[in-house]
Amino acid sequence: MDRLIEVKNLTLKFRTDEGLITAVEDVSFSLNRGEVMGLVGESGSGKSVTAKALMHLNARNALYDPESSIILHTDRGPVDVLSLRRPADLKVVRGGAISMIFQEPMASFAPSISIGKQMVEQLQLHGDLSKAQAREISVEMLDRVGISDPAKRFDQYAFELSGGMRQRAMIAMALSTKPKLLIADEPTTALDVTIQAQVLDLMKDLVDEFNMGIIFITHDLGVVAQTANKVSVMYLGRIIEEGPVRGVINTPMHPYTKGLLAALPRLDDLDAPLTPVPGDIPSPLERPQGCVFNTRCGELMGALCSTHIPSEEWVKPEHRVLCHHFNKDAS
Amino acid sequence: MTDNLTSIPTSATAQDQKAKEAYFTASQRQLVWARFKKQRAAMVAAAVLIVLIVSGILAPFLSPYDPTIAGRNKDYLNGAPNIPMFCDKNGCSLRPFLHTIERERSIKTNFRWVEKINDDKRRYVQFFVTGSDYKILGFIPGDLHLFGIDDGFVHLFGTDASGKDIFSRTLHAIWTSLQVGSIGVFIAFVLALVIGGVSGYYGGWIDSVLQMVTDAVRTVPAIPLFMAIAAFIPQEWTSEMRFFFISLILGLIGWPTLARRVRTHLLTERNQEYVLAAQLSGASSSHIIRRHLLPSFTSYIIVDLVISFPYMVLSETALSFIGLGLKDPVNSLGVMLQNVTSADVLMNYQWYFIPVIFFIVLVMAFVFVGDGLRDAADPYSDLNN
Amino acid sequence: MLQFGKFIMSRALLAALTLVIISLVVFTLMELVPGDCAERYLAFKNTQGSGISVEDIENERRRLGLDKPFAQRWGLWIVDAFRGEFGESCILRVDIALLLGTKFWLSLGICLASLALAYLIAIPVGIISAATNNPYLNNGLKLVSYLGLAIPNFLLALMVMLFSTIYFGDTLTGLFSKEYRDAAWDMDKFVDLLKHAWLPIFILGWSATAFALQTVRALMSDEIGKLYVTAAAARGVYGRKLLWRYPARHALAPIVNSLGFDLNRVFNELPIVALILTLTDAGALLIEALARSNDQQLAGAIIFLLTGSIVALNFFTDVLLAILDPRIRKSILN
Repeated sequence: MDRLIEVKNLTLKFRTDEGLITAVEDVSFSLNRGEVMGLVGESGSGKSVTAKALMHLNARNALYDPESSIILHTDRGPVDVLSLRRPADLKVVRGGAISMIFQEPMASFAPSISIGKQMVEQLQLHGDLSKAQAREISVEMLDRVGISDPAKRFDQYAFELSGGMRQRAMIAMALSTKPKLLIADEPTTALDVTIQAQVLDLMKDLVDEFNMGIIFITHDLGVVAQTANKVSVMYLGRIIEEGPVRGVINTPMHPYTKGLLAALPRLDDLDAPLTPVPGDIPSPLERPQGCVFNTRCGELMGALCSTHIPSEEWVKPEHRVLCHHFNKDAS
Repeated sequence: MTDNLTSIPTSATAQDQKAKEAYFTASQRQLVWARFKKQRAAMVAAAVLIVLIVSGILAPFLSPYDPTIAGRNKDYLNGAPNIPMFCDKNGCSLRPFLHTIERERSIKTNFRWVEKINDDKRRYVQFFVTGSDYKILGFIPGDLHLFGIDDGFVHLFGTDASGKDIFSRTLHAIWTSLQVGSIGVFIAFVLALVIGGVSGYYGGWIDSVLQMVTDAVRTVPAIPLFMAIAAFIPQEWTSEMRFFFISLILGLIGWPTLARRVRTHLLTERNQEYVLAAQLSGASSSHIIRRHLLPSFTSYIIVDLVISFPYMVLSETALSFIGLGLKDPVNSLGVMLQNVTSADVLMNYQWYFIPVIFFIVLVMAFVFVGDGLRDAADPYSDLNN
Repeated sequence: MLQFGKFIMSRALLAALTLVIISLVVFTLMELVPGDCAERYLAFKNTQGSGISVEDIENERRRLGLDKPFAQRWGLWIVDAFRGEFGESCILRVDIALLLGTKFWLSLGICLASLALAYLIAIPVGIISAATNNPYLNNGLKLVSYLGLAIPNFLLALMVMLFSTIYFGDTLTGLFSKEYRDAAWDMDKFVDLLKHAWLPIFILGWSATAFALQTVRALMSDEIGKLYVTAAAARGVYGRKLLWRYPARHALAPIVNSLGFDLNRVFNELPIVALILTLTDAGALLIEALARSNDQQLAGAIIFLLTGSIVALNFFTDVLLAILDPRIRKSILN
């Protein structure tokens, strides 16, 4: 089965002191093995929340709509992620079939436990390995991601490694259990450009080798262009456009996507003015009525945009957009 | 077909706009106050605190009698509290009253005071009576008391071994403890500002040296040190001199903790990027100190001051309790607790403990207000809840 | 290994330096007290009936070496202090070290025991409560913390005394029963001590527990919110392992750090609790000497001993932390 994960109608709200905040609304997408999907959006667009939902990892005050469904296709059959409650059951998904790497590699390793110990712990949690076997696999993995002198690094602590090495170590740890899906939450944001390139190359190699699916969360369109096969653009909890990476970047449909691409500084014309997307992302307590983007859109279609939610339209076989401009029966 | 998943609809009415603007342009004090108001426990505690402070200031007015020996009731030593009532077997009355208590002791009662209540003789409580002279805050003279009784004495909290009214003494004691605490906090604060300020501002070796000294002083346990010093106070000193000396010592021992805080605040704030940004924009250092540095930690300093208050009060109470602090006629909660450990008192005169309740309430009020202020002043505290 | 040795040496030096500064403070205070040792001694003798003259005082001064300059006297005092000798008490002319001997160790023992009790309770309860979101547990613990802070130990002791007097008609006082008071130390005496000491340990532990509970909870809340805990959960770690191995282990380091300060606090509370529970009756405690004696040699020695214990504890916790926390360990070894 090529299909790896299917997300349908994911709606997620958080219970807070200020009220019920909608973080993700009616998000649907799917991913196949070997496919890299870029999940792009500003902070507050719901990307991380969506990613964590795939492992049922959100905080306790998260409320999932009953219609939401996340089905993960493992070797042993489909798994309904949202129905799993006990951490013991979720072990299959967390760190087993799905692994996640984070933006801050320093912060994602426990400071006072050696890297090796954490890697061994994960391996032993997800399989029947002895300590010696787990150690061997871990050291091998560290070598595979390009860390020099892996046996020595195995016993070291996170603070003893450089930034790039830490990131690689985190990737090694995430991949040691041979997950089917890797979620990378802004893995290169904190790195400088040269290291960024190395890490991206590494990830591409690993995808080929392990035939994994990757969901790459970022706000950097350039990175997406380099690594992803398809890209989903999120705004205020909704996917407003999704399609093959070249297609979306060359022919963006949604006004927001167009705005994002236009806002990129142009290296070939240094005098050209910067054209950001006007306005600010609204506070989560003040979700706009109708289309979520209507408060900042430069291509409004009148009152329709602020009263009615657009329906999804497949403009091309693999390219969909959420905008009234493309709703054929828009009144 | 409207979106019914949202919780709060947007509306750009003028009212909402104004409210938003008010939020963004509010001064720091207004913001802190707004956040403080939201915490119920802290607000209740603040109200209680204000009541106690006002009672302390107006103690001479609120208490029916002079709390010193001069105002004692010779016939009612170690007397139980008199609670005024409104009704008795002879009917009810609007004005609260007390029955007359006749005490006698004789061989028959083993020479213990035995009280006989004469419930036909009523004594009415009167309000706004003229009584002993006093000076509020030391200089406003008066002789009006909130309440009294037409015949004899009314002791709401009973009396102590020499007949002094415990109610009056408690009110005055609150004020004394507050005064000593304030002076102590003030002295500690001034010292902390100077030493911590120099340390934090200059950094380098000055900081290292001052830090060593501060840490060394901080390691010495305060109360044993205090006991050592207080034990040597000459007997000849007047009670006023004792009072100021005790407050002085409290401040001198309490400065290290505050100094450390001031220094930490200064050190972190000094290196913050907003200071650099201000410097790069051309602001002078006095401007930076005034408009940027000071406001950033004034609220923390105020919180530190409020939080250190109860420790001062506790220390003074503890010391007076052992007899090394204030002494009669200067009256503090600690002084009032001095006689409480004898078995006699424990068994028979439990009303001696009433000031204890006031003491606990006072300390807890300070602690709650301090905590509330700290949560209100720290804009990131929400994340920790 | 060598670097670690050097680290220990440097910490020890720091501790010694702190003690020297403190000794200066203490010694200066002793000097400032009106009336020096000679006067006091002779005033005491005077009350016993023997007459004194100014010359006697002068002679006594010279004998005690009180006419030497400040710096010299301080130097001698501090050197002796480090050897555990504090000279003789002003009034009773008894060797202070002998006088204080067991009293000091007993006081220290009680204080350390109450700290141990406090952390024994606070650590598990604090960790577990920070992990669960049970509102009853949270509010209950908050209340306990506040009560522990607001009701100072001596009040608690008072209330315990009141309670026991009313209901048991007996007062729980003293550290030893009459038979063992002056007996030599042996197992039975120790057991007797334990039977009586639980009350002061409990009372002293009361506010120490409240403090420790608050600290542990705050530290744990902080740690639980950190990314590495989420990352561990994302790896499939769960349950008790997720709690103890990750946030708990890292929250405990600051606690080890604060032990010296805790001891300081307990030392502050000891005198009054001891007084209320009349632990001093048996002459067993240090503090009685301080409060009653009016003798600055003795007072100085006691303050120095107390502070010295805290400095020593700080030294031990520093070394302990260096062993436990890999960040410090590695930075030392480099």
